[in-house]
Amino acid sequence: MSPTRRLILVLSVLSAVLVLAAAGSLFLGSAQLSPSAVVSAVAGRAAPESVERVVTLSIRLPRIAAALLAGGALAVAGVAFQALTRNPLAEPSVLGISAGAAFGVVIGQSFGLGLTFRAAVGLTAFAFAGALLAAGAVYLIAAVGAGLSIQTLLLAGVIVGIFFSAAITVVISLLDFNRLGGVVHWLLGNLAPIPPGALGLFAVLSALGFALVVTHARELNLMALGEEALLQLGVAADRLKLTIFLGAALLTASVVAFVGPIGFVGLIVPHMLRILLGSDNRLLVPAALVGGGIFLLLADTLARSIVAPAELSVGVITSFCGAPFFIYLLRTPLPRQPLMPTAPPPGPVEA
Amino acid sequence: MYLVAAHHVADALSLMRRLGVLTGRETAAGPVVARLEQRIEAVKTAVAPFGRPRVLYVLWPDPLIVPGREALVTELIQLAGGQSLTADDADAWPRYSLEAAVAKSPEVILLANHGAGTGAVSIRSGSASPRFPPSNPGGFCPSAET
Repeated sequence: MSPTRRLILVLSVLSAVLVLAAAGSLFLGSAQLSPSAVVSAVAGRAAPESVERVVTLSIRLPRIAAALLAGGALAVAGVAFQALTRNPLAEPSVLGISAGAAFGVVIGQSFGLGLTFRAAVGLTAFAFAGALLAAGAVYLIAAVGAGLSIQTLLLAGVIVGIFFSAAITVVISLLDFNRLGGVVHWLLGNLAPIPPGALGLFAVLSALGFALVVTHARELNLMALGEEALLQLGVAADRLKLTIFLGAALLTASVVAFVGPIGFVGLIVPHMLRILLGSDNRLLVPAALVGGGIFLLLADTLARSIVAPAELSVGVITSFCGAPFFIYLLRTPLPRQPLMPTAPPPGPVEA
Repeated sequence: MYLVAAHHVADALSLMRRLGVLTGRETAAGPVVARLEQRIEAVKTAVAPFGRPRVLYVLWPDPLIVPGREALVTELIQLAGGQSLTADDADAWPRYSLEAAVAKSPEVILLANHGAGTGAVSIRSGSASPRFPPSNPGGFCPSAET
């Protein structure tokens, strides 16, 4: 089967699963709405201020959209960071980049940024700056000698993550008490409904980050061969790495700014998909976009149903899944988790 | 050091009397408590002819924290002629999901402002169902005045 046909097939299957998961999620939640009430709200037959309309269209639907966006963005960022660092355990939270972005958000919030569309732009800029700062720090700490070893990179990520977490604690300690509860909730991952303007901005930024990564998916495959191979094939390695890095950092920063630092999605989803689909990034990147959305949507549906009428933060669910998965990957010999396709991708490569 | 924990109005009144004893102002505490009891009775009489509106008291909006059975606020709402929608929860201050709160169709929502300088509580009254303030990006809680 040709790569294009395989991509279409995979995306079709994943999209069908996504639609089913989204539809199922619309019917589940701590408000005990009947299926007919939900259908009535979706069809526009419910009264404007009825419970079923408010719950279905103003709470559940925006939340589903946020989960799909955030999950897809984190999974694509995970694929990108793993290819960029040639490290199977790399992902935004493990590398400390989510913590850096979260620090940026907290600083932005201390200046009063938050609710409106323009403020959300500023908030994302703070998150992006924090992500770049954290990633730069990780690189400077880890880049000792010839390259980036897996262990050194992970330790550098842990150190930077702890540092920024401590910095966040300092800022929170100085913030007005009225904001503390919100901060703590958001730091665990909060998919509460986002205002429509901010949700649109989230979608645009995620699309931009995704475009930066997916348009270089073929080169990402070559990156696994090493920088010399890239140069021999006429690929500008530095420019490629910068593009991928900016795309992944933008995806991470967007997610952190709008729903908080949710961990391990960028680890679990790419590896599950590699098991199913192989390691060709031309297939993996778009599949991660859909697969990540499905994963986070399922996690959030569980989080808002399992302890009703209360609810858990979605980050709790992803961490419960991700921590054992991380240990599994850490204890698994690397050859079982290839980060490159078994055969070089066919066709010419654009510089 | 004298620690207090008043979960009901009777506890609070008893506590006031006790504080009067502890501070040597027993004679002053008595009339204060008596006035409060009179006011409570007056409010109960005044609201008796009316129906009980469904009240959602929001201690904290994000995550949503509301008064349960063991919270003093629950009894205050009852005495003031309302019906606290979260009174059936066994905890004093349980966490609630937004949609679970909406599903209870509150008619009045009281938002605690935690000393924001706008009075004891900010009051929002609605017809059939509430329109909650959406969470802002970054997840911080909106101000009490919203």
